[in-house]
Amino acid sequence: MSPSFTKRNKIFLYLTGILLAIVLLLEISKSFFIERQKQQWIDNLNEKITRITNTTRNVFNSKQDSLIQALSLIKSKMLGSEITQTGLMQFVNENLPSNISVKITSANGNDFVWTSNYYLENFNPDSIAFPSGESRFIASDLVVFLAVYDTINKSNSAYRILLLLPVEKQYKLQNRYFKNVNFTEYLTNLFNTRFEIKYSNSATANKDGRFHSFDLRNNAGRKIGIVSFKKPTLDVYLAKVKNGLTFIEYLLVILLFSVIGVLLRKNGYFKIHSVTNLLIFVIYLLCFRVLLFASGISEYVFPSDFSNPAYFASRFAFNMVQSPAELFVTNIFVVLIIINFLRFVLGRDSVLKERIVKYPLTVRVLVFLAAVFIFLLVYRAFGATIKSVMFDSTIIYFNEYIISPGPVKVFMLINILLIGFSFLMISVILLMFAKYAFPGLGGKPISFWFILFLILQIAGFLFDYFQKEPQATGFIRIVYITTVLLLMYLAVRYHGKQILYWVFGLFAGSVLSVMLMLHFNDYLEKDSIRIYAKELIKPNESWLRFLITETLLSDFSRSETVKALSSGHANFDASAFKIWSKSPLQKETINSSISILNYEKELLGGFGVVSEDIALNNWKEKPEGINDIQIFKKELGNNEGLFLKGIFPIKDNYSLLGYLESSILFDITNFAFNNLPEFLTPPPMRQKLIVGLDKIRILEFINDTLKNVVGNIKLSDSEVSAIKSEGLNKEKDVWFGLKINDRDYLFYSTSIKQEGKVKTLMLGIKKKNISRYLFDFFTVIFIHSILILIFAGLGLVYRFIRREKIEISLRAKLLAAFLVISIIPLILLAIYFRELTEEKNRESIFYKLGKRAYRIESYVKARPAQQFPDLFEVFDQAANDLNINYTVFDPKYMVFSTENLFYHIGLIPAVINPKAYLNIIEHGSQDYITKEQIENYGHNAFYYFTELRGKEYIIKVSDAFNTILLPMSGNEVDAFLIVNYSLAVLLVLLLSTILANQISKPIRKLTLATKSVAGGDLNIELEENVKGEVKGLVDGFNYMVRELKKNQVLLAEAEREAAWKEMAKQVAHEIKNPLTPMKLATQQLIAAYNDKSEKFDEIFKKVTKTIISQIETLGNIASEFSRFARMPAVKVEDVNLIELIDDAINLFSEEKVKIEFIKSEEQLNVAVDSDQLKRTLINVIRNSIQAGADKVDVSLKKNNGIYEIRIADNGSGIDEKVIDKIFDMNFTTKQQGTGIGLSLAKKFLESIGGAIEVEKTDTSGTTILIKLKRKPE
Amino acid sequence: MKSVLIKVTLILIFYGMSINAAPLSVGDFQKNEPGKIFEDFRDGIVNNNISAFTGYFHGDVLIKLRNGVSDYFTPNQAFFVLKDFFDEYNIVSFGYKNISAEGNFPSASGVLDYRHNGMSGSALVFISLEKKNGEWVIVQITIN
Repeated sequence: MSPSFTKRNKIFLYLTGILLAIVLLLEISKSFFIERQKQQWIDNLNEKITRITNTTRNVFNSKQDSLIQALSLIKSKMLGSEITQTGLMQFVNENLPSNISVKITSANGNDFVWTSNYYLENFNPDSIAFPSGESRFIASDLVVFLAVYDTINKSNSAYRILLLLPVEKQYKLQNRYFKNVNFTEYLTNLFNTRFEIKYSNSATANKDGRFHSFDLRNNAGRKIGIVSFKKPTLDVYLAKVKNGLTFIEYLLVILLFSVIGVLLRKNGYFKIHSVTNLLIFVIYLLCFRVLLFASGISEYVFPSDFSNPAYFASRFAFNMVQSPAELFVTNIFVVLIIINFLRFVLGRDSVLKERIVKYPLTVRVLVFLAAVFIFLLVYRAFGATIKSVMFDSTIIYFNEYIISPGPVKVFMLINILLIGFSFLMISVILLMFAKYAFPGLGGKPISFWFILFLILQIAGFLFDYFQKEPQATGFIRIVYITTVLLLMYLAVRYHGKQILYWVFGLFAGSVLSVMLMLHFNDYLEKDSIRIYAKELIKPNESWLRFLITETLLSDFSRSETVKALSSGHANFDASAFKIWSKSPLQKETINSSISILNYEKELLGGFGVVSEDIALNNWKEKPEGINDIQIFKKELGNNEGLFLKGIFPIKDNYSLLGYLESSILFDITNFAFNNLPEFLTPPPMRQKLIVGLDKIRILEFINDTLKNVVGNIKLSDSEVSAIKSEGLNKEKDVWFGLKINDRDYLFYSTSIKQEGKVKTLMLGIKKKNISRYLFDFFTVIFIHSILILIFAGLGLVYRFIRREKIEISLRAKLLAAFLVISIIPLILLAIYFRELTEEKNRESIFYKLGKRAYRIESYVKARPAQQFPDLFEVFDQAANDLNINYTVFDPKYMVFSTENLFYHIGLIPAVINPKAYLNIIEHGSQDYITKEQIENYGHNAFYYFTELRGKEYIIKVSDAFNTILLPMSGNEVDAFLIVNYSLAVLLVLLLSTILANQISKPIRKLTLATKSVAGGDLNIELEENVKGEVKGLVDGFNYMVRELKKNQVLLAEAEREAAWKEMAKQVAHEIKNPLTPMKLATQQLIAAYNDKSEKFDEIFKKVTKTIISQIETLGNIASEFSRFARMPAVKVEDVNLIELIDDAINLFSEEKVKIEFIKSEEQLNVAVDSDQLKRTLINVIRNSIQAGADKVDVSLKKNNGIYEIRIADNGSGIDEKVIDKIFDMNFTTKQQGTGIGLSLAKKFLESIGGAIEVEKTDTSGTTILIKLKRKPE
Repeated sequence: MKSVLIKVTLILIFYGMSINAAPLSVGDFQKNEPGKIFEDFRDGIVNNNISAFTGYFHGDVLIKLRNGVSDYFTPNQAFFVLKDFFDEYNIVSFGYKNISAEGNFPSASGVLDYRHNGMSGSALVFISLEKKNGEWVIVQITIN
């Protein structure tokens, strides 16, 4: 189609030109712009420094303001009303921002009010010059606070108020529970330059000329700290400017390309009617994709995580799938190409079939085989792609019992959905060519599908059989082939015109993708176990040494240790914790510790989980000093593990201050099962290792002896023997399955020779049962279903915007109604069940915690003071004997804890939860239950009041340090609900679809039948095998049609009679007029002859003239009547012949006849009376059905300016004797025929220069040929 | 003529697609001793050419980087993870302090100087090898 330069086209062309000019201009002026930036750099730099300084001060001031405001609030509350501990405690805990800590002390020094996050127990404001009402920085062992302090006098009592706002944590945890508060880091990230903040009023500016420093001043204008930041550099700035300009250029080019695309579309190049247009479309999209990739625009459009190759990366497709975002963009382009390709193939279905069928048999066989072979290759590629998505990614798609996915995971699930859809549609296209090669395979349509199904299944089986590593299981292959055939059938039927078809394609793609994902997930699980086994069997000693070296030599470790050793009253445990938290040790799930020793090698403090029992102390006895880092190794007995200790001397100005120690214990029994509580545990050992360590059972053999069993598993002797025979003394690593404790396990066995002994490790996991597979399956299907519904909704919105008619059929409405009625109660039930389980779980937790508290009380009370004088020893004993972790408050402050270290270093406040205190001590409750947080780790705490040895105590037991097992956790409930309710929803969907179809079927038939009647087909009759009200409707319709037909015949006869009568009357009347003067004239002539008149000649001439003129009048009358008797005028208009034929065929869609329309175009305009032509077609097709045909082929061809419509049926044919009469008026072979249908059709067609004839007829069928001219005469 | 052009275009498109259909793994094994691998690794880092050593990846590689990345990656992922890292951290110099090429787990550690967002810094580097199917491969890279 050649472009016509309409006004609109010109606008787009001008736009293209302008954009091109801008791009060129930008390219040329880039260097000038950059030069100018260089010249203006100094001014720019000062401006930037000022901006950074002011912004920093503003950020600081806003923090300060919030603190001062909080102070004012408290003061006005205290001054404005009577002060009670309860009221004030509640006010302070409920009305202030949660990150502000408060302590109010009464005149006698007692803590009166405090918040649950108060960490500075021993702080005395009098000890430092701390002016009232002014903010300043105060540091605890772990945190730097912005603090403000004030006093209030009320009712002759003085109260001291201290407020703290954390600004910088000096430790850092590597897990999701860590609440990061770091002013320095915040500013560094905000301005993209290094910041250093000294939180001291005596701090000095950074003397490095590359840094700019300024004072931090408090609300009174007093200096309280110094902020230094590295000045922006010209090279970094210019790099940013260059990148920015390049990006703008790319954006303009993309815009330009888009405009070109719009131009091509408007000129019809994207209407996929020909191979040329299809190629243009594909090439355009490919070029556009390359342009988007080169510009790197996806990094700007999508959030940064979506461009992270850790979540997915592959070098396939020229690196255009190197991240989730790039994969998504590539997927979109691929889907667009495939959808249009498929529509192109479907649109030229009959043409392609005709062309390929004409080739010799050999060629057709080759085409068929090639199509099948490539189809199988595509199937393999599908498996390989999903495998790549699973393996080349750190996303875990099937988390145990975790429903809600993160955004990156959802994004990748969209990608997977599109991949599944694309591969299925490509397969459909390939099989279409197989179909064209042998369209009549098997004779009947159903035989064709069955034979094709068999051929593909056999070919698929052989294809997988001869591969070393098939990409999927046999079951997946069978489902894949079946699904593609079904999609192909639907594609042929609906020609890809319905949104429902694409929705079905998406669902099918989803199901197959998820099946493959589950298949590969099993491999990933096996990989995880293999990796664990490799790490466990032989620890990488050089790596462990590197960890220790890195820890000891880091700047932070050194500076922190120097600070601690130089200070007179340091909390060495806290210092060790800070060093440990910022070291790489914290990221590893191995047991590690940090210790600080003085110069005499005495332990000052430490943090970690390496037991002292295996501490390596022989180095301390060495007389010579340690001058550099040294690492000592100790092999634990019986190959139980490896212990490494690194020591590094800490010096300040060459004088030895002390030592820093770092230890690592590597042993199987503690591998990754370290004794740290969850809020300190690092993230999953490796994200990639999808099997959690807690799920793995480890068996360690030395030679043939079982040495260690790790994990919750108890083995009988027979089970041990069975394990030995399967897993020991094998030449290489093996996998084997075994039943243990009535559960199926899968084990992996690996061995290593070490010092003459054979060490074998067997790692096992429970095999997944069917409900777990179903849960995994439905979790992803559920997310995919939501996505598909969103896509379908967007499709409908797109149609609405384009003002296309959106017809919602009765069937769809019924289906929607059934679904709403069924699914809403299901959802409500699910919510109720979930809430109920949550409630029960809560009760269970508190019951179990409470029980522990009672046991501790009983234990202590059972040990009287006389025999056990030291109460704290009894507490300790109770913890060991009862195996319970707990804390005791006196009742305000912590006096004992099994987790004393965490209190000591300041991770947990050592003052009791104020609400617990109020409820128990002030209000007299026996116990109190609450939710608490350590960092962002939520847990449950049970507080219990008790009197021990005459003193009041409160015992606290929490599930942060005690494992509470629940019958069904929240996640397990979700899993149960997802699986069962998904099945229920599927069932509801299936039943609703069937019901809706059943109910609406008679209505649909009725609608079509009504349209047929409106089209002139009065031979239609609906089946009567229905019941109920619908039967009445059907009977009524059939009766109506019969009566209409009868009345039509009678009316036609009556009209004919009336018309003839009227015409006869008219004729008589008209004829009389000229006859009278003729009679008179003749009489006059006779009279003149008889009279022998002299004027006879004159009279003769006059009379003959009169008679001739009246005869002419009679002739005119006859002509007029003849013209009148012609057919009524036709109403000619330009119509799309394809659409017209389609509409006529659709009227028979509910009848038991297969009508195929073979066409080569989508649009073919012709000038014709559409109603009459449609009526003609309906008549001919109706005649075919009545002749017993169950298959009718309608074809349309252009032949030298004439359109030929052939209607070929497989009916009984026309009797030779009557074949010449079928177009005669009133001729019919049917009992109830009128005999005018075909004759009217012939008359109509001839009136517009067309024709209708019987091209062929015999006992195998009849072909009627209708000819039409492009323009009628 | 038109149909010839169409056929040629189709062939070119399919060819372009097929030449990229194959590689899902980064490179082939190279028969080399640990010393050579350490050398290639150093050269690759210094010259910002990670392809110099990504050929030694096979199966999962443990990569821990200063920018927070810490996980096992396939060779495909490892290539892009490292590429992104070295795009952000421009290497000034890199040298080994300790090389242990003997034994079952040859390893080397060193110090790397870089510039990142206009700021200089240094990081400790650790690389560890293992023998798989008779060939030495890189199994761990740490830049902390």
